[in-house]
Amino acid sequence: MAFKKIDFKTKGFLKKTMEDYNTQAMNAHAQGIPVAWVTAVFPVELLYAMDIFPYYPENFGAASGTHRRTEELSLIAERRGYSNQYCSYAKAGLGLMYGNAEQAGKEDFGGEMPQPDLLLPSNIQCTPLGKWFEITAKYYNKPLFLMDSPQIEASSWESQKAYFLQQIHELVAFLETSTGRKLDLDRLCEVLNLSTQACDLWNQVLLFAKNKPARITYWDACILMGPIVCWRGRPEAVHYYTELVKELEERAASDLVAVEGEKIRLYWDHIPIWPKMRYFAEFFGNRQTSIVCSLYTHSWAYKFDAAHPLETLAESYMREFVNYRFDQRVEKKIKLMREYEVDGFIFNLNDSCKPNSLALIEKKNVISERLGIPGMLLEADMCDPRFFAEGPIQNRMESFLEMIGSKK
Amino acid sequence: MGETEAIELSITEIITRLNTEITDYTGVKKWQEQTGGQAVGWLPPDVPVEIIAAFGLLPVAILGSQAEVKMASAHLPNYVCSYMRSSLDLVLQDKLNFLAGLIFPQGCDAKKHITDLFERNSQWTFLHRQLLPKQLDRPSSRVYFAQEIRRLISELKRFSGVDPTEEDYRMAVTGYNLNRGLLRQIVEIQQKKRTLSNEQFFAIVKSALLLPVAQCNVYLAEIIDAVSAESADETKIPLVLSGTIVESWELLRTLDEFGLTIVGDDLYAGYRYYNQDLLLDEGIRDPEERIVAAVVKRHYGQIPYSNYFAKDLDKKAFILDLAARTGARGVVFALLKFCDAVDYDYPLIKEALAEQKIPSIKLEIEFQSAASGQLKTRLQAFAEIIRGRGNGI
Repeated sequence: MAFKKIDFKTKGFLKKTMEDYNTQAMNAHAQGIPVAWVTAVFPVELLYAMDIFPYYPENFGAASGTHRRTEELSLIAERRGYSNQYCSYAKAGLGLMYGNAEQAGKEDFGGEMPQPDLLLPSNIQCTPLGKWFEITAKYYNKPLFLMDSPQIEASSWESQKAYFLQQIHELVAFLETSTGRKLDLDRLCEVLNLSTQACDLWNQVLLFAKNKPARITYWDACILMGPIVCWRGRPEAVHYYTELVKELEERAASDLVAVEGEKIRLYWDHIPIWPKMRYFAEFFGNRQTSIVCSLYTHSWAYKFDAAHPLETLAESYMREFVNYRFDQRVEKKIKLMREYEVDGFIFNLNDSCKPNSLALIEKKNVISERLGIPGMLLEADMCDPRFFAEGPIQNRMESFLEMIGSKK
Repeated sequence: MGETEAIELSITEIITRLNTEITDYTGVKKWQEQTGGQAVGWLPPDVPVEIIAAFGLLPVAILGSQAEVKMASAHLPNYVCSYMRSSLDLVLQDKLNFLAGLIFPQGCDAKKHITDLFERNSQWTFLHRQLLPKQLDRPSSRVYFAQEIRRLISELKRFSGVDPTEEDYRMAVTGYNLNRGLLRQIVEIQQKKRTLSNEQFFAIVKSALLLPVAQCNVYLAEIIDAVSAESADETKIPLVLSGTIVESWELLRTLDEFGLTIVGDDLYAGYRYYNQDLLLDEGIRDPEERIVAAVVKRHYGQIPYSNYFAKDLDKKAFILDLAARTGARGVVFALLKFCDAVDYDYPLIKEALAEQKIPSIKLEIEFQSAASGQLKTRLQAFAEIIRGRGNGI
């Protein structure tokens, strides 16, 4: 039976929510609001509490992948001497910056990304995002603050917590000095509560993939996650996810499923291959296979303790899964795989995201042995089509699904 | 001419003996047999070897291998640098079993996430992750770094059962300060005379990372004597080398072949290792706190490293200054393939060099790559460009 994707009724609401985000980002300067570039895992609640607009250039990176612009933009960066082997988000961002600068008369970023007043990377995810921000900071002569996150280490935990908390205090001082705005702790508590509420709703959304058959898939979640990334800490995220949960409850009540005739359930690690989202959704859908979970989409699960606002920010943001060691990360994957009752898993050795994929070969072996389910490795960049070979990938996925199907 | 040839031979003889000691950790294994002592591996950058030595342990750098990688590819994706790949291969092939443990600094993303694979595939009961703050500007960085050095000391105590005395720390610091000082003398002589080949010079630096310090110091003193007697070789073109680690001896030989001599570098398995002494502040009474303070002071006076963020520690400015100070007439970027952070810094430095009309060349290197015809052609052209600039050479 051919796969047919059922659109969400709240699709328009999602579109408007994300358009509002981009509009506010682009209009921020006109309204006297400073724009801070942030990486995805950054304590943005502080920024929203101080009326500083947090902009996520990684979203641009992903969008350039979806819109198949990564290669064109990367080539501009590569002509400047940047290697083609690194993070495709960074390559796209640098390509856009230099590309627009090369075209006389055009405003920088061509209206696609707001110029930063501050650059706030965290290296919890990786170093290249920080390097991208560092180059941008030099280009625009704007200040940069790196939120440094050493890997969680039991024997260092107390000093790590102290280090991160001290950095939160330093960040507040940096933001106050750079923008002239003062942090109001009561306002921060409100933002933290909104952020917790949004995370809770988002995780309710993800739980609908636990149903057998699943009500949503990972491919849906990758699109639906926009507001939890961008609007975390603002009412917009709470409003949108409240409506989405309602819609999913209706879906459940009317027994509407994501993949008709679901036979196979899989885990996916980690970031999707953005230019091929539709291809993958259809490939698996047509084979009655649902991708039901991924640590990528399950990342946003903060439960802030507003009674200790700065401490809770420090601890919550340090505990991002990518900051853990091998064994703990394996346990987190296994927990999700068990909870979502998967038949197998796919790990992408994404060369744009080394911290997430460097140890996946051994993790595959460990998890397969522990859970008695098969795993498959892919090798494809999350955005750059030069590093995606459809034929071999499709053949391997076919064989993998056949193997799982024959065991069921 | 006859006298010069005799001295040449003398340098060659010393380097040949030294090379025998550093090949396959021969010197380390001999030391173990003679003393019954334990050796602990470490990887650059920024592991304070003086502290390891104060525990009576021999610090031995793990510098990968140029041999064909046999087993690591089954454990790693293809985008991991050849330094990490070949080092893991050594572990998988049980070639590092002579070490009692390992200290792994998480200086970059690859090291941060590959440490687990070293741990899972080795028998060591001691594998210490040295966590390094990546922002250097703010007060929190020093506080945390100091805590990490204290944690290293505490873990070494637990592992070795030793609690070093004030004298142990002092002895270790004295030995390594002498070592680093001798290395600086050699590079200064090299800047003036360019007597040593690149291959010889980097073998000398490597010996400091691999040999018992007292033994290495004897070699270094001999080399200084031999080189001091030499006259300058004005035909060689002085260059700066930028990168992290250069184990591509073919590259060094090819540079030698075209008369290109490295007189300054920013390698972590190079100048970063030996550019400063460890200075004990006698005003601090507790010996442990005294060495912690000294390590912190040295760390925050270091040269730039691409994985660290610091507003006033600009790598571009450092390279330009290094080229000016050493009289270098060009810069070779020998960048390890897949070494992300370092590569991100390259384009802006290249631009700055071009503005100052300093020729530069970028070479993507791997531990296992032999000198290709293309490499030779490019370096030959590079040498010709520089020579074409006159100065009578």
